[in-house]
Amino acid sequence: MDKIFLVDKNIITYNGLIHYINGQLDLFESYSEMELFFLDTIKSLTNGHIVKDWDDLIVVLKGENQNIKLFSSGTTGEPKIIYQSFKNMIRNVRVGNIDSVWSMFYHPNRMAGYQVLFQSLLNKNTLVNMFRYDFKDVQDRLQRYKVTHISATPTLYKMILGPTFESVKQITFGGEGSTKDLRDKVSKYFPNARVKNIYASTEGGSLLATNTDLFNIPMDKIDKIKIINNEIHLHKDIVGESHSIKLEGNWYNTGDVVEFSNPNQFKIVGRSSNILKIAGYNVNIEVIESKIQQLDGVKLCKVSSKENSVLGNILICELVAYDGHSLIDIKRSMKSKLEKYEIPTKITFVESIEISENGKIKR
Amino acid sequence: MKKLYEIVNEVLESNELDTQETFKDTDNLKNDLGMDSFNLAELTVMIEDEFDIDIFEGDLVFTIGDIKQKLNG
Repeated sequence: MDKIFLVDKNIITYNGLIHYINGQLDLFESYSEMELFFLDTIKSLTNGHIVKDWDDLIVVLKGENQNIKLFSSGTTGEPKIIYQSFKNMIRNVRVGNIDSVWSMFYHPNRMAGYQVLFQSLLNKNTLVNMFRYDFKDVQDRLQRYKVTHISATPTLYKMILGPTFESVKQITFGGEGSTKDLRDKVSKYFPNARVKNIYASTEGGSLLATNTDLFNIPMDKIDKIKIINNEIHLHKDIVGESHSIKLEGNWYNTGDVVEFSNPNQFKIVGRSSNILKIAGYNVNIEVIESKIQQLDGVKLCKVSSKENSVLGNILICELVAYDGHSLIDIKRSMKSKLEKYEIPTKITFVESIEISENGKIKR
Repeated sequence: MKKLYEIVNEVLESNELDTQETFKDTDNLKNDLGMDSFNLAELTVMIEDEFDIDIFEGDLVFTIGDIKQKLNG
């Protein structure tokens, strides 16, 4: 028996592995790698303390102020390692929903995974693992365990749509750009859920939240988050430590681009690296993906760019379609819903699109 | 050149332009066939996929004959 955890009705350990938390957790049902990872995470966070029960675990977690090793999403290039303080990691965790059932869609050593882990741990919630499950199994598990809270990327939501999920009370979007129309489309499958849209980054943790498309910087964060040249900058105080983080003075440029709707509110439109010029127009790949994903027959798509001798750059689209929808139909609806310069020059039907461990389309 | 004509017609059709039963070497892609720069970009991609040649790289290409010359090296 592992020394860190005592067996009680809430936390049961066996051979060093956590099998149940809160009586019904099957978080570690299939993946020993995940089991070990979570145990190691909690072990290192508790820093060798013996934890008696849930409340004790929470006290110990909050009392520790160590740095947690995180991996960036790795959607481009090699994943980066970043150290983030526990205090920063839990700053937006809401406490008080003891009956919630959370679901884990992310790799647990990524910022998004930790956010979900802490949100559920600090609330003594059941956490049901969805990471690395087939999407059909995910649908089943969401219903079987009466999951109430989901935090996922637009890509992941698109993959699990099918049945309606009555038990879900809150769906949170993050990690990738999304349009209101796409979120509205997804939320139809969660008829009892409120929709949250969050802005988070590996470098700064969970930063902003809204119930709409528009974000604003709350008063308590105005000295920590700034918009400079339409890009979000974070003060060094809230940025993790990493060799790969380059500060400009006291500020870190996230590369996340915003578009102001009024002097105080803005939309987050994507990453600066995903914005390019097509025939003289500024085009945001993530926004185009989001628009294409709203079209009938489109399950998932990935847009990328390629140099072209006529236009400078062109867009290429790989697309997973629902059965019964032809390329011609989808091209036709693109023409009616997208601007000419937003329509990919080349569209290919594919069986699947690779998704990163952070639930994003792999680029 | 049958394949080239098929590709040109495919681009014309998918962009709601008039397809052609026959092509003349002098047919100008813009003036005669009605293609704009987006259609031309689509045409280059499809031809490159089929023949592995970027027809608009280097020399100027205006007509069907220019494309054929490019493809024939």
